[in-house]
Amino acid sequence: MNDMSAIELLEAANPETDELTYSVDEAWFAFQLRQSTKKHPRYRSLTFARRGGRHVKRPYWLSVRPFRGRVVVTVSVAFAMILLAGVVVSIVRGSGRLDSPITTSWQSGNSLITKQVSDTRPSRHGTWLLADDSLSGTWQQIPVGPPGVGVTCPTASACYEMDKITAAPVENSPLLSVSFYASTNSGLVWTEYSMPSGFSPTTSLSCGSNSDCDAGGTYNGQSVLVSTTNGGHSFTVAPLPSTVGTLLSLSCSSGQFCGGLASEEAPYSPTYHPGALGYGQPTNATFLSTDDGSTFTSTAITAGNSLWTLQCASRLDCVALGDQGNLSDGTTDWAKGVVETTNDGGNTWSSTTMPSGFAVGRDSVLSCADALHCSVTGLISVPFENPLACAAKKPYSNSPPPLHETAGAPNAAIGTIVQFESSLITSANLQATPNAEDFGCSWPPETSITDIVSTTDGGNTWSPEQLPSSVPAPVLYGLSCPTNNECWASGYDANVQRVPGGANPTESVLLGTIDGGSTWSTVTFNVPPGTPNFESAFGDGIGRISCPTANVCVANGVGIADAASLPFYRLVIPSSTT
Amino acid sequence: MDSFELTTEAEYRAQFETLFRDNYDRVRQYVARRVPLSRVEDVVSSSFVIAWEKFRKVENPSLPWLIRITSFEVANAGRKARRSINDVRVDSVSNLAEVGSDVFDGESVRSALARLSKTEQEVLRLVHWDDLSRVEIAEVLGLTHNAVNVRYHRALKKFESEIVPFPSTTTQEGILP
Repeated sequence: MNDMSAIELLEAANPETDELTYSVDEAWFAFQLRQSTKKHPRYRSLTFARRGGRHVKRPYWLSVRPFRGRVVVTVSVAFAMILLAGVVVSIVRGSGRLDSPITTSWQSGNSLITKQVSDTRPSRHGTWLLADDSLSGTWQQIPVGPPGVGVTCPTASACYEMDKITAAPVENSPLLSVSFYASTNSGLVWTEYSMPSGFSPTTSLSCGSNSDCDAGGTYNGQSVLVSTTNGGHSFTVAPLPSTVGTLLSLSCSSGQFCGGLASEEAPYSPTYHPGALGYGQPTNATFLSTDDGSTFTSTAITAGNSLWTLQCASRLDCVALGDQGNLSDGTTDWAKGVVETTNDGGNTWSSTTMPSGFAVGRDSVLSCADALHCSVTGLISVPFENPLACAAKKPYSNSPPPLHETAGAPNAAIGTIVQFESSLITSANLQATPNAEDFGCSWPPETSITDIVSTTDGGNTWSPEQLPSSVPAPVLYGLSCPTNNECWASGYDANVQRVPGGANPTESVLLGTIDGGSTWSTVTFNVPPGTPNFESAFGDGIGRISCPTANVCVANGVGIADAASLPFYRLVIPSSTT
Repeated sequence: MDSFELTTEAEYRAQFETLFRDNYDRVRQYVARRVPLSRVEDVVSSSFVIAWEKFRKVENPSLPWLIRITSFEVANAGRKARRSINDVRVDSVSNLAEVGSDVFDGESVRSALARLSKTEQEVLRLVHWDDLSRVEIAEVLGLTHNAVNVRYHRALKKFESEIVPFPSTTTQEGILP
């Protein structure tokens, strides 16, 4: 007899909720009744206490308590008022609008605690070596790293990351502070610094040189650029020109130059669009270039395009990617990507299109080795329906096609990739794998997987890459191309990854090419002795990746979402193999 | 030239009534899976009141949008319950089915779920209890589609590692009728 799967147990545990107390008619009537009575607020009557023979109008909570209780209450109220006054003062001080840049005082930073060598306890974040089998090199897992997933390394030794500290480890939780993490030895040791209080980032961190990093965001609601020129010891908060909105994407090609995409509204407020890729549509973005935050220049890019991401290989050459927003019917065709390029620092822009069927979205990662060579991750749609999963879900009564997804037919090159992927994601393959029943049943009956398209002519033409057949359904959220020929992409396989020792439905994967994308290989990880079991090792997979040179890559670990610290990966490839 | 028509109060009311009637059962079921039965109607009612207050400002009111509002009300109900000593405890899985079967142990599932983070629990419930699509769940949780997929797979894997296996009637061909 087989065991019940986890999914069967979950579904068997679904509480019975069919017995409704009210019919819909009764519920609607009750709702209307509640609406009508809601207009009459309840009033709490004051209570009066007799004191010294006179009636004294007092709050009830003071009149009915003994002396000791009154003292406690009075002290508590006084304390609360002092606290409130402090909050008000801090808000008033902090809400002042910036007219010119301000710089924070120097700070020394706090080292992230590294696991002691003598500590032999089992740990999910234990150190092990990750060796690839197709591209020579050795991956090293570092036990302690920053808690986020956005590492960026401007040089082989300097790596940085910026992470929000929120009230709770869930989406949309209130922002408490923002931390800046720095490493001067390729991620081996990290130091945490505090970013200016009141700063809320709206872009990723972009580091143009060994000690220069910038990030766009808001400072007490005002759109700003925050930068450091000393590796995080101090920060300068520079207000953006009033003519542009909040920065949405930032790319710094050096310590002196950054280019960004700014929204037209200020401040930027993410607006959720059902069915769209991500949320917050930067329609009609403005290009904003800056000289280390001291001067800003803005130029408009083609109206009507929603641009998501930008990379500047130099102060002259930038590429911006997005989708065709503002279609005549009010929708966005996410599968028709647009390309905007400039070779004169943003003064003039040229438009072209991505291969139809390739979607550039908020999660796309663009990486440019130089002004001519760029690659970007995006989504392609593969028609597929998993009979095992869909049998229980049809008809899709509650899942109409999303309004904003109006994907057209893919072009020939993308169509070839789709056909190739379709041959990999088969029902037989799924049914032969554990937990496959949860994959591949959605509406419309297709699944979105990641592909990579690349250009070798500065963005004029783009070609899709055929990723390895060993990763049938890649979902990639990291891409870094240090040279014209070398690119690394990280993520996971949504289908299944057959690897020595078992199979895992959400296998972390790392793909690499060292021949300009002609062939992509899968890097498989060898789990060292002492790892508790195979799957737990992969529970801490690879997240974003940053490769400053052909020989060095670093990558975030992903794992437990609310972990205080996550592992970190570093790859050093012997020069002879590159 | 485009013509614009102002929506009247009566039209808003009619549109909201349609939304209410189409989704009342689903919203109530969502709540009933998460709070004690004695509080279900109150939470559902509060959720629709708030939905009505926000209704005119929303571009495309839908079931996920209602569920998102309701999720906040469920959380509020939990907070209120914790503040009141004599009140019942609002537990996300307190209404968990106790199936009359010797092969299913609800307590085991309850315990395994409880060892997951709140977000992981909610993703699993939205997928397997509330039968929402990944796109809808993305809207409910305010995440991207990809993020939902990642969180779901990781939550499921974690749940699998927490649960104690039980005998089943599953065959290689699927679940027996």
